[in-house]
Amino acid sequence: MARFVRSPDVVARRIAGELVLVPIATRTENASRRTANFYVLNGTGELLWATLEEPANIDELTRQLTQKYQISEDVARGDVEQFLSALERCGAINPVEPT
Amino acid sequence: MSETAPNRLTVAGIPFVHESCDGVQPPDRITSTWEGSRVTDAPIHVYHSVGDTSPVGLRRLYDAAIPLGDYYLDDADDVAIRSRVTQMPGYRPQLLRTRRRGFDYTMRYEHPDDSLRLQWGWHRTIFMLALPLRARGLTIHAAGFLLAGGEGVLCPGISGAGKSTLAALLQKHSGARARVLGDDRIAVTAEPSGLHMWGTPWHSSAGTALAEDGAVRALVFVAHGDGECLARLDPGVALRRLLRTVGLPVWDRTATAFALSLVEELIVGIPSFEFTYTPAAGAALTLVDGLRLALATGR
Repeated sequence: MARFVRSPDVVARRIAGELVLVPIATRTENASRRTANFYVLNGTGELLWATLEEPANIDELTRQLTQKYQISEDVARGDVEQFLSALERCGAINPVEPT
Repeated sequence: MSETAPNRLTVAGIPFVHESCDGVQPPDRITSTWEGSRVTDAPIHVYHSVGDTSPVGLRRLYDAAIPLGDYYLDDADDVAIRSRVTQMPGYRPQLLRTRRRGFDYTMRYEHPDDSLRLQWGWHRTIFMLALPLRARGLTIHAAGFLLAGGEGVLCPGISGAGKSTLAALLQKHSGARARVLGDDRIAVTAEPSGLHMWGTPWHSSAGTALAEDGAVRALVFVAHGDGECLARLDPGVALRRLLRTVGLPVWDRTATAFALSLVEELIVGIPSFEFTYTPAAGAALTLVDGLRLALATGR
């Protein structure tokens, strides 16, 4: 199962208690990775972002959410997939190559 | 740099200095009505020349169509922009390159006659690029006005939010109680005394472009609604709305970090309000009087 980790190409700043992420646009070879956006994370997003300081897969991230919030595994998994998809598309997280 | 007299090629203290090559006629003003601000900063030099405008050796930065053209990065990770204004009769592409971040830029045209086309947009784009890249400030998609005591009120909003409507109402009905700086783009600079806001030449339908400035004392986010109501706004909500009006220099880590620090100063250091209104004569005075009261009492 794919694992992901935070990209170093992100400027993060806590403003008025909210965590703002701005992925930095780099001269990547990945033509789909282009960005001109910012993200203000909600509570769920902050928990996932904190977890992604170390590589994690969808199961591990889903478990984080179901342990912290009273939500079903299906709902949590959907949230995780959406979060990972958005952040990978803009280059805020990277897939980790299996060793 | 010591302060000097107003100059009609100056915006928010920064003069444009145009250098001509290849027989290109450089622009001698930004808009027909802009008189220019006082000069406080080192200039932005723009070198105008004729040559190939194709993006050879550049890498595309954005997918989305953005005002004026497409963004690219060069080998030094500096930004370049190639115009794409296809609806203009006889249009030929133009290419902006960075020579020295925040200070020196080049404009390349396919024909010498093109140098005075799109200058309204290029001046605005170069100014918006240079301000955060020289760690000086940000250009906010906002209307802005000064209260009679000189207190600056910044009204950020995306297109259609009601900035021009509010600016027109203030201009028509607030008398000497408010001076409108602009209805579309306001420059905010970091000064030793705090944040400062400046009118810019780049107006929208209200047509206001006043080359004056003052300290930022309030953020007001406008919303259409029944009646008139000025209420304090939660900083988290204000942050999300403000970020939508700031063009972040996302190809440059240092400039992005600077931009976010300025956003924090605005959100944490300046009170935010929401003004819900219907466009009627009384709305301008309700806003001005409400702000004066709120700033005087700290509520």
